[in-house]
Amino acid sequence: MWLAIIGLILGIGMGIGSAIVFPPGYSAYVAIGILACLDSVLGGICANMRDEFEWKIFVTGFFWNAVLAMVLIWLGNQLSIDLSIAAVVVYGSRMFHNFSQIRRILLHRG
Amino acid sequence: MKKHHYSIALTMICLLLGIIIGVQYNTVKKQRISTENQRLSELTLALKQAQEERDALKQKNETLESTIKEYQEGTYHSSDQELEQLRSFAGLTVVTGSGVCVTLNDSSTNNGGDRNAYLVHAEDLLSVVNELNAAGAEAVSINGQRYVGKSAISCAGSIVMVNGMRVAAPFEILAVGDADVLQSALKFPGGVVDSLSPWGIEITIHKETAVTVPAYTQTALFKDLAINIAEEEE
Repeated sequence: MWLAIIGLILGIGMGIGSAIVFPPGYSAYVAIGILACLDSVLGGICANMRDEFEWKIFVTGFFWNAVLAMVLIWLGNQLSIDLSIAAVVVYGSRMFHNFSQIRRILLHRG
Repeated sequence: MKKHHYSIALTMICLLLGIIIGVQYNTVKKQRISTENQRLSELTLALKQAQEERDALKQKNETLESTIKEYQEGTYHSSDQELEQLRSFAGLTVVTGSGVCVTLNDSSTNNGGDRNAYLVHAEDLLSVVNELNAAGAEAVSINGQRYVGKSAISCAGSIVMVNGMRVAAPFEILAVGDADVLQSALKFPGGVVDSLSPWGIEITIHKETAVTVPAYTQTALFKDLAINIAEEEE
């Protein structure tokens, strides 16, 4: 778990350090993709701590959730429905859930 | 050992996610800066315009004060220059200047539906003229008919009446003014050109260095109005 957090911090540092920017129109998609990925990673950490981690599920979930979220947003844009709200609510609540699971496991372990 | 393997996968994924988050942070930050810059340049433009307006008003104030002085001294004469200014303001003189030439023609295509939708209507001409005037056109004419304060553009069957004269497609609208501003006033997204082009109406805009707009030739008849000279003089 600590390795994952170190990797995340290192990655953020590399991203900010680089001068790369996304094309302006895709910013909303990337944001929702990040949310989906964060949710997957938290789920992965949670599963890892419970020794239920399966890396195939994790890796496919990581990419599939992000792609699915972006496709949903795109579809929403075509139909003029703000589906990003749905994605934010679902992934947000799942992140909170995962956080509470991690906290519980840490408390029990301690 | 196996768990260690998973940890590496997790770390690599987290690294990737971190990079994406970092780049997104950069993107958002850059966007915020660019919108702030935009606001700044808008304000600069507004300030410049306000200053120019103030200077122009100051100058006008000075000339008006000198006119008052002339009145007081009893030496005031309405000059030819003033008369000429009023005439050009009323559109009674031929004027030349840089500007645009807009041509509109009926659509040559017919993709079904109402045939009328593919013709240039009086309303279309009116909206073009209106956009040109809104963009600061100093003189406008349609097929040789000067557009002045009293002008009407109306529909009369298959033709259009401007100033009470029949004009027909192709329409040529001449406008004197800042050519770039006039052109962009018509071409902006969702503007007049955008609303007419789906119907295949042929609309072209040429920037010209010298556009000659004819004078208003109709005899303006004032039957019902009386000019209150006394009130104006007060």
